[in-house]
Amino acid sequence: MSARERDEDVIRGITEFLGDYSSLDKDRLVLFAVNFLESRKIEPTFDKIVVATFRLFPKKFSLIGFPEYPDGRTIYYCAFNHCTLTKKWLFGNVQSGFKITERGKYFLDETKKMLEGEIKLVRIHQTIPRRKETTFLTMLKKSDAFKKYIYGKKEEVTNSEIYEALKISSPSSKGLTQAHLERYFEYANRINDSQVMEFLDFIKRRLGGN
Amino acid sequence: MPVEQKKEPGEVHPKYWARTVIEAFKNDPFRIAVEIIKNAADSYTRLEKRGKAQPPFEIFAKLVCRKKRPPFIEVLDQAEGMDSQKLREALKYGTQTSMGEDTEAITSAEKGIGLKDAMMALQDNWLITIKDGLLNERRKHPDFATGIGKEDAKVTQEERKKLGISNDGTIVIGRLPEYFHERKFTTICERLQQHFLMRKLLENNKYRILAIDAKTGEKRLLEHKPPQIKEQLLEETFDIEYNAKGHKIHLLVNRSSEELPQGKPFGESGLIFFYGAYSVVDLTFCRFDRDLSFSKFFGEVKLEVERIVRDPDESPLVDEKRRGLDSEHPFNKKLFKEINQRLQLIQEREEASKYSFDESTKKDILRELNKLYKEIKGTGILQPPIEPATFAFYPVYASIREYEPRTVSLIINSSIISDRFEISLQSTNSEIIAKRPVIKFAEKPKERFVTKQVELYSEKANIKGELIAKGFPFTSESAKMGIEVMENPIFSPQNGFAFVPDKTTIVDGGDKKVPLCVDRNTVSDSREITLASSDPINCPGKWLLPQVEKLEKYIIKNIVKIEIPLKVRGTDHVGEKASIEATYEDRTANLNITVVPEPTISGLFRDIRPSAKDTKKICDFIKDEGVLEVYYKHPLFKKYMRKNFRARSDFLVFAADTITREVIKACVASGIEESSSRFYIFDLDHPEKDIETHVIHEYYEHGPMMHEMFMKLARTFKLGEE
Repeated sequence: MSARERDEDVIRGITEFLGDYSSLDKDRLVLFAVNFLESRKIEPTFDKIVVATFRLFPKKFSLIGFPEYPDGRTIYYCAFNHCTLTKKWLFGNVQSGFKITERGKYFLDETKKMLEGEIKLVRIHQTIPRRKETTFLTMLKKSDAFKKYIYGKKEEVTNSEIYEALKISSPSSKGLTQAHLERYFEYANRINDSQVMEFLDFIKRRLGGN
Repeated sequence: MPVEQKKEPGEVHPKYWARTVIEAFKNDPFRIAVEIIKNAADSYTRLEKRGKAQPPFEIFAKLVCRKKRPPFIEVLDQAEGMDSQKLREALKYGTQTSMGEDTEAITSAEKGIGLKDAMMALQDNWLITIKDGLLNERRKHPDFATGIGKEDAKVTQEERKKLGISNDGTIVIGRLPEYFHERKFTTICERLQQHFLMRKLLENNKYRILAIDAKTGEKRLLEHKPPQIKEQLLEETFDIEYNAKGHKIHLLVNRSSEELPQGKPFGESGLIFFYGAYSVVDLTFCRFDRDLSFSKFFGEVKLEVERIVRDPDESPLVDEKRRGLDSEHPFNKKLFKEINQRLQLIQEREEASKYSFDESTKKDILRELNKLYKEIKGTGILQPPIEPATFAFYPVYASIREYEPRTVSLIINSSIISDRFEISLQSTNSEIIAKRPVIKFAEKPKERFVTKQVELYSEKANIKGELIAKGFPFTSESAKMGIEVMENPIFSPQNGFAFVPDKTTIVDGGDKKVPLCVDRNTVSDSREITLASSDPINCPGKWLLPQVEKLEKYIIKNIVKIEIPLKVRGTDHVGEKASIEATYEDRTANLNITVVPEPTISGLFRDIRPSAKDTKKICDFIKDEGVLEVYYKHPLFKKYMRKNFRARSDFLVFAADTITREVIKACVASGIEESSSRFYIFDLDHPEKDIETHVIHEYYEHGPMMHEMFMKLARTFKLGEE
């Protein structure tokens, strides 16, 4: 059995971290995964980091709508752009693999304490990756119509505010309104945002009523 | 010159008159000329009011100037003239006849000293007057005796021609007294133009007062041009209730662009008090007379006091020596009180901008203060970012720069704190210093987590170390943080002479100082650094390196660090870029600057400003405006504002402590209002006791840090620029 196969087997055998990792930021989790590999004498190359991170923390690093697949793009950003270039917790690149720096070790210790519950992070970090779905649902949540709906002022929501929230410039086209509404429903469904779903139901009733 | 035919004895003792004249004119001998000129103007006014004359009204003041003797003056008008009866009235003691510019008044607001006193001050004086074809000549002796020349003599054409009076009119002649020191015609003209009693008359287009130099024949029209008005500060009409009647007062206060001379009789700064069209009675700023903060202000007070003037039983408004309004007169008392109130408001408004704090220091402190408030209140960005089971550093690793302190936090879970609990801080590298070796707790904190600031400092680059925190007693817990000391770029200026950093931003319309670093080995005998800036940035054209003996103060490690002041010319330059090129011998340094909009200061404290308000408090927080006002006119504050007060520790400590206490009080009051859980109240109806406890607690907790901040601010307390 080759060393390469051994590493892959070990990584395939990783099970999800048992503690609560939902509040931690993804950079710390990637740092933890790199250390996880190092501690098992596995060279932390990019692909191994991707799989190990995903297997350890699947809820944080899966693709939207495809929970069985790792989000390689997010892991790349965390490992290289954030942990290496900005925070200097890691040293290396995709071609060379990665190594934890002296500085990174302090943050690793802190991360371990966080995962063990010794230190609690006050700020809760987002789990869902920033993709089209999250981007547009965030914009929808910033619309006047959504804000009025949330603050219990449903009656005050005007049709023009609804069209603006749905990004429809010409409300005369019923087909376009329907298409946009469906797309927003799909996005909300995919990231399981019940609040937006309720709001879209409200819109559907209002526009159907007209 | 007329010949005296007979003499009428004067009333009262001659010494009285000698003293009266000296007291009236010695300090302001120009008033002799002014009185005579004004007398001529009054005569024209009375004629005009009777519809017997049309402006312009000419008054000629002929001066015979000599180098070593006082000048001879001759004032001529073609107005009413006087008959022998009127002359007797005018020149006798205690006269009550129609006087001044008010035809209905039998006396004037200034009554007491007038024509006869001015004549007595003139040596060899004569009053020659023609009325209804009759010529009269009178003189006043120093003992008040009246000399009589011609009396009701029929005037001949030759006499008219000689006197220069075609119809009715008066001439007053005489030599000005020895205490009249001016000798030159031009100087006398200038002084007459500046004299406050002449001002309203000279500004009045109806009257043309011509000064004539008898030697050269030069004629000069006397004029008064008021100072240029930069801004009108007040224009108001109000009533003064006196003897159950209202008297209208029109008050006008202006600001000039330049400082004006103060004080009577030639000062421009002050309020001209006058009645009628030109009868000036005083030049003063009442309580604020000669106050430097009023040196750019001027204005006038028009008094509608004719009713008081016409009342023969009323005492004069002007003091007995005619120096100005009698401050003891009940009407004047009320008048001054009303004016003082208005002037005080102006002063408060103006002086608020007169003193100021350095803008950038103030803004830094306000930001810091608002952060602190959030910390005190218990929510916001200074809420601990982590909640450790025991205690932990945040961040857990810090890069610091040599010679630059950096603050990190130690977050402590209150559950582990008991009485006499303390945390010791120790650095594993002696070159890295934690400025707070022990954190002590006198009592158990009320909040769940406590954040303590720890300042790190090192003067050695490229070293690493750890800061270890150990709790004591009853715990063996420890926390550590990694520290690395980086090279500070200021110590390696490019080419030995550079701005570090070489790019910066500046707030639109603002100013700042940028560090220019010079390798000490490159400093030669030459001290001059030339600076060239591009629009919209303004900076000095050259800057001198400190002298050799003072250079040591500016040397840090291997460089000389100086700070170059920059300023944005005007506003509306957001987004514009500019550069500065500094040249020192053959070395050049460039700085790129971008103008950015001013970040708004949000939070509880939005401004700190000095105020000239008269209050019992030294410092107050105006919650609605978010402004902390420091009342520098408070006697205690003034006590410390002595010479070089900004450098004196007693002033700095006093100012810092006063502001700190007010800020803490404001924080607690606001925290309670916002229902902060940090401030618990036992009895909500009577919270005073708990508030006091909270204030004391916060003062001990945050006082030292605030003290430092406000001492820094107090050092920048300065006279503002307009």
